[in-house]
Amino acid sequence: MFLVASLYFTRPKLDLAPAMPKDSHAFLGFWLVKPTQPAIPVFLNWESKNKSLFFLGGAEQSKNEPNQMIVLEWLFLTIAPCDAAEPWQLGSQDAATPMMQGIIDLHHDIFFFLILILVFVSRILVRALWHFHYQKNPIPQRIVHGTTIEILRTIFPSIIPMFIAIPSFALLYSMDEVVVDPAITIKAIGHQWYRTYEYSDYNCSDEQSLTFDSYTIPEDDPELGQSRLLEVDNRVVVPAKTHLRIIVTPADVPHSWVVPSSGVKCDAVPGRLNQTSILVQREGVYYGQCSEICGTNHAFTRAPGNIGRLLSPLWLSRTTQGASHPRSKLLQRAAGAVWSRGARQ
Amino acid sequence: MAEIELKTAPADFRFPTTNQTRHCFTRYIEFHRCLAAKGEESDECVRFAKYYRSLCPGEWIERWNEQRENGSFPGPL
Repeated sequence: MFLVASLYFTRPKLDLAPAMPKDSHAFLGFWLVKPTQPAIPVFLNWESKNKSLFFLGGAEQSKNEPNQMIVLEWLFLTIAPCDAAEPWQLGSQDAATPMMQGIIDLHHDIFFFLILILVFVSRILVRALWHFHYQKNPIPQRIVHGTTIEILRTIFPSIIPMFIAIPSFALLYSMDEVVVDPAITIKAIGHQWYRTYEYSDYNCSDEQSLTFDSYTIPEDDPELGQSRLLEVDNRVVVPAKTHLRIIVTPADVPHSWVVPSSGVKCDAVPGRLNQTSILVQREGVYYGQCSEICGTNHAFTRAPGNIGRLLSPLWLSRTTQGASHPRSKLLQRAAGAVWSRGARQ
Repeated sequence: MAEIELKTAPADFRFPTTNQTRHCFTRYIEFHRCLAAKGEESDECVRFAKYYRSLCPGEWIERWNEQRENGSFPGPL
């Protein structure tokens, strides 16, 4: 990993590299040059401008090895698996759950019909405009009745919505019902303007609880490479490839818990518990924001922490036992937050 | 270090929809009815406790516990 990274440290032009694979874990080195994190290319350029290549040289390397490894781990583990929106992004974010994949597929299916209709209608329209001309066609055709065309233009437009509606409803109802038993229940409780998360599957009394607050890192405070108003102080850590039940409710005004790459948008209504189910198929850090206007800080200090560092169930079980040694600072912080809360309450 | 089994309240056919408010409430009532029927020390009620703790926000549970102590709990116990 170190070699890959050093290669790109010495090549400042690489931040212009186009169209890198977006979700490939094999291209760790390329993550640095994605336009997602504008801070990183600047950082790279700065390195090379100052000719600080000895930073990676042999002697320095052996002396500073632990430091460098910390820097690299910090770069790769906190920035690399970043599922956030990109500047000038047009499509959806990369799907992390089957639901999101379904949504993207439905979008593409519908676009097929959309473009078909657009082309067909445009052709009729343009052709009519073209031929309706006082010199070329001084006497316009006067068609007032045509049984065949009327039948066709009634039947086809009624079949097309069926082709759209059937996959749409299939997707909708598959999202609605939870048929499998989930492995974990996570409660996401919306506040003005932060989220509280509760993991209470292993509670032995009503008082004891694994609870922590997740605040957005303010606009002037993010560390290098963190996404502005997306990063939070305590991430939600959930296991990958596991059915999760998310119970969403607010403690004050309506909120909405949203993670675009997981295809989840669940309104939080006071006095009501809404359930949504996700199965995250790959490890990563997923970002989301509140999607219901919930007060002054809805858009600014509040981009609430629907962020999961998704790891294997084993990892979670280690964390909940407090015996883990998470490698990155953020993971340590996440684990620490969970534990300090748990111990205090 | 013992492995922890990932386990939570199962999907309940009585509450198949997104709205789980009543699921949480029912599990809470079931637990306290179970305690009333089997006695405080019974082990059979532990699973109901696990279910409602998994489903209900801590704040709700606290409030309901207070209401039960004051005798103003709205549900059938």
